[in-house]
Amino acid sequence: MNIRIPFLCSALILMLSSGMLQSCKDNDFSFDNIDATIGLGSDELALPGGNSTKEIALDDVVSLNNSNFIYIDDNGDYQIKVDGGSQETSTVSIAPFTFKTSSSISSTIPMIQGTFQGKLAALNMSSTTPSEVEDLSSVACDQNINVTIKVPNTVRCVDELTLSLPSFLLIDHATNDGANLSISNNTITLNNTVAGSHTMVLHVKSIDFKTSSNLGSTSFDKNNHRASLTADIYLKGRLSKNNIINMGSLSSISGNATADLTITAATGRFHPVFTYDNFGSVQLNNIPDFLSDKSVNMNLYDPHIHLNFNNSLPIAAKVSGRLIARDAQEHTISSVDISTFTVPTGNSVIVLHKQSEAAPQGQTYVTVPGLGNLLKTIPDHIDFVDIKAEADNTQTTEVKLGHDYAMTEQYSFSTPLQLDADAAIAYTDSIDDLNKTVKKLSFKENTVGDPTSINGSLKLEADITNRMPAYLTLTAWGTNLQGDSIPQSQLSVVVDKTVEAASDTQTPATTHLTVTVKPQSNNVLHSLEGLQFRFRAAASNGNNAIVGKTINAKKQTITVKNIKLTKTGKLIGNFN
Amino acid sequence: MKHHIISLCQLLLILALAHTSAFAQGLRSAYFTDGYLYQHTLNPAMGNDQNYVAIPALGNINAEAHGNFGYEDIVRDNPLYPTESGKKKTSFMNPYLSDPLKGFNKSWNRVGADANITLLSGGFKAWGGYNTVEINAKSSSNVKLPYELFRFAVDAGNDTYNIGDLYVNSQNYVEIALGHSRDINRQWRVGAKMKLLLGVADADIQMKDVTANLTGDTWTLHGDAQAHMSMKGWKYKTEEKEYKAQAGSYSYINDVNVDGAGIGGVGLAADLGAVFRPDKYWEVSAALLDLGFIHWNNDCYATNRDKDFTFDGFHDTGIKSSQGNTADDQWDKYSDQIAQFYNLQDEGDKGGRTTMLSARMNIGVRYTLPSYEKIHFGLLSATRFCGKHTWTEGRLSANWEPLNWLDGGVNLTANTFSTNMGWIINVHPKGFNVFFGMDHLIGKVSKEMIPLSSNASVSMGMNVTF
Repeated sequence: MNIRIPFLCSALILMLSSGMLQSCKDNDFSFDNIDATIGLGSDELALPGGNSTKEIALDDVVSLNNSNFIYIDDNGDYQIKVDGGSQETSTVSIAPFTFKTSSSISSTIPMIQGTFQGKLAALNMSSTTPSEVEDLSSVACDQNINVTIKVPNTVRCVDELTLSLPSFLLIDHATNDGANLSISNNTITLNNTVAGSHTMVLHVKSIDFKTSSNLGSTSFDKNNHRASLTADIYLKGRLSKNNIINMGSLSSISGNATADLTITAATGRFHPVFTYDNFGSVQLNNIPDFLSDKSVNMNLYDPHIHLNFNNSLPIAAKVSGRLIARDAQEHTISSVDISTFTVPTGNSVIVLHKQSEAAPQGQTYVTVPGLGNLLKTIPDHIDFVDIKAEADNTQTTEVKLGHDYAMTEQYSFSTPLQLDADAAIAYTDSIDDLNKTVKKLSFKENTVGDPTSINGSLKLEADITNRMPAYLTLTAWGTNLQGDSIPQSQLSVVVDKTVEAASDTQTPATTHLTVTVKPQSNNVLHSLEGLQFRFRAAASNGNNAIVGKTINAKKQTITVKNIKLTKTGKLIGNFN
Repeated sequence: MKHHIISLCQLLLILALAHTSAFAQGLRSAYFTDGYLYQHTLNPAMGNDQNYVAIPALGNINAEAHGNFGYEDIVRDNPLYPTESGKKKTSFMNPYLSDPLKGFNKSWNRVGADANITLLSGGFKAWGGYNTVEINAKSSSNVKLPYELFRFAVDAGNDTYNIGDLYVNSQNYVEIALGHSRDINRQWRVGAKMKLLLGVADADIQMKDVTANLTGDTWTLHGDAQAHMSMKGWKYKTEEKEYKAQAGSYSYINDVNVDGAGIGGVGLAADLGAVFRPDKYWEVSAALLDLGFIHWNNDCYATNRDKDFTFDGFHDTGIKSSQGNTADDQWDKYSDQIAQFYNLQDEGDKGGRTTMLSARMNIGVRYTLPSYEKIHFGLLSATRFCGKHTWTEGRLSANWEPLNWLDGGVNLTANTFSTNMGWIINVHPKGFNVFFGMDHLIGKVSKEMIPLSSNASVSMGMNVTF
């Protein structure tokens, strides 16, 4: 046998075998050709329930951000307090005025043996009064009326001379030729007045514009700012026979009077006006994160604005103004008119507040119902402007003329954090960096190739025990890789109810809450980058309102129990 | 995780890759092929007409894989192709498959691989019979997985999964065999082989009582992982790691080191066989093969520290670190727990163990056509006894010797895993013998030459005869 044939057969067998192996190769079955789309779990999967948190106090989750206007006091209550900065001062002064003699009438009085009398002199005086003077009751002056009496030499002396002046002139001191005279009821008596010229100096202490007299008159014309007086000086004399030198020609006593009365103080009604640019500005810096959300409505239940005045004017002041809340670009956010209130003399504290309540001793409360509007949206600063401050012209008081009277003011804003009926605060947070996980995940499509034909969702259930006196509303939404919000029509996040509020910390309210997240399309899931959520705490749920309760950072807690997470819909991982 | 951790799965993979690449225990398609020089490996009572010497390492190469699930059950046609995916294939875990588990057996899913390479072999007539001398390298690996494991992988939900036990076994040794067969009388022929076994490596890995309970508010995983490794120079490399939540540290196996591989154990085995020919047309044969054991010098034992992992959520969780017991803190506790559950720790060398070989039994009946004696038919029953991995097979063959230097046959087979067919071509001119055959048609293979059905067999050899 040709041995080559067997060897050829052997070689052929080996070749055929190799060829068979090669021809049986199915290249579709290749490690490079395997789609790594893998289902993760069953159609529905619930993670172990019974998850829970510790009691969560507000202070655990929200930050004050080093705010300059909100702090936590020793009891844990949130307090809002901000000072208005430096004091504001305004000064008023009522200028002194002088009664000048417009005319002086000199008279002569014939002397006779026995008694004689007549008007010795008359003063007509007037003055322009400052515009602040509304009415004069009396004025004070430290000035003299000079009266000259001339006794003729036809007599040795006059036994007795009696001068009478109008009762509205308060003469408190008189001299005659330097010698003191006694005064009684504005009457001065001179004895044994020798012939010659005698000068009497009558010190006028005050002029009473409310007293009438038959020896003169006073008047005050408010509209023309004029005050005037007419004063007659009446003389009575007694001449005995012994003192007559020449009985045939007794002649007369003559006299005149002069005076310039500068008024140094006045009693009456006055209307000086304090001028202020503003009452200062309070700056609100570093807004805490639970007050910075756009849904926040900081309509506080009873905010207080403390105005500390020191009014040196002996007249109460009537003050009004406007509080304007502005943003950093000086745009007005809100404004509240402050109606006129009275600032008494001396130190006082005027408290502008929202609710009607009795003022504690030492303070004056002024109710401003709209005061809560100032912080509905937290402004950058609050200015107290359009100040009108003027003395109460209904009061009669004495003022020193030419004296500077100052009124200083400093205001501060304070209130415990108490929500009014429409108020709400909000805490927002987010879960980020989801895309690196979820971009590989999808829900199973009922129609392959149609990413919207999915029916998957994630449901979170929990029992929330709330010790806050506020209704809690949770909203959540997704954000995409560009940071934009994903509309609810694409990623539905439904929260079934609002968490009930606690009426007090001893009586918490428990609510079973369900949150369902449902993407409408796998494309939405692949673009999901983050989940934003907002807890909004409001005083009202639309039906009931809990107002006037102070929010506490430590004692008002939220506890979440029985947390359960359920996934519905087949979840698929694409690990290609 | 940045560090390498030898979990049970990695250990399994290492063994599988190391020992499934090759070779079977004998070409059963050639049981009735007279010119096949290695019939004595199937029945030591069978001898040869010629003396032979194997070409070293090429005399008899057998590779066989068997299983009741295969690559094509794990990797399936992709329903998303071509519209939603450019890849034609996908895993059975693809949720768009209509019946992802159809390729898996509802009881046990088994895959095994056997290999034999004859390093040296020779046969010669002497002492009244036929004698054989062989040095063979043998390997056998098996994996047995419960159906529930695949169901859990596809559809894990809020349910209880009694997954059961998972088994991986691999046995590797060199045998030095001396065989002798002789005719007792005209009808009976007997034979036997004595084998000295030199153990190379044995691995026996189990995860016992694996359960997953994902119902209610407490999830539990249970599994008792046990790994017995016997190999000279085998050492687990461990790393010490701090616990995240509790004080202290733990060690875990993150690598292995084989320092000076060699003979890890010694054993003995025997093959016994007999052939009975009541007449020239009928022949009945039976053989018991690989009756033996290996005693291993070491038993490197590893197990998971905790048999259970319990997850019951996060309780009384602090929002910030000052409150304590935050979600991160509790997650660290679970991390420690799970590390104790799935990491293996080195329990040390238990001092040795003895493993039995997977004995085999072949029973054959042969009938030669009286009208044409070049054709004969055979029916072979082969059983492999290997504990949980025992399998059995029936093979009906038709054999033909058209020329005195050429013979071959085809056969149909049905076994524990599948039904298939095999063939053998044996070319044996003077001075040379080459054969090629398959106990199972390989069928289709992947691009990486992995049989798609897990049932494949290739045998080939080249020998010098004289």
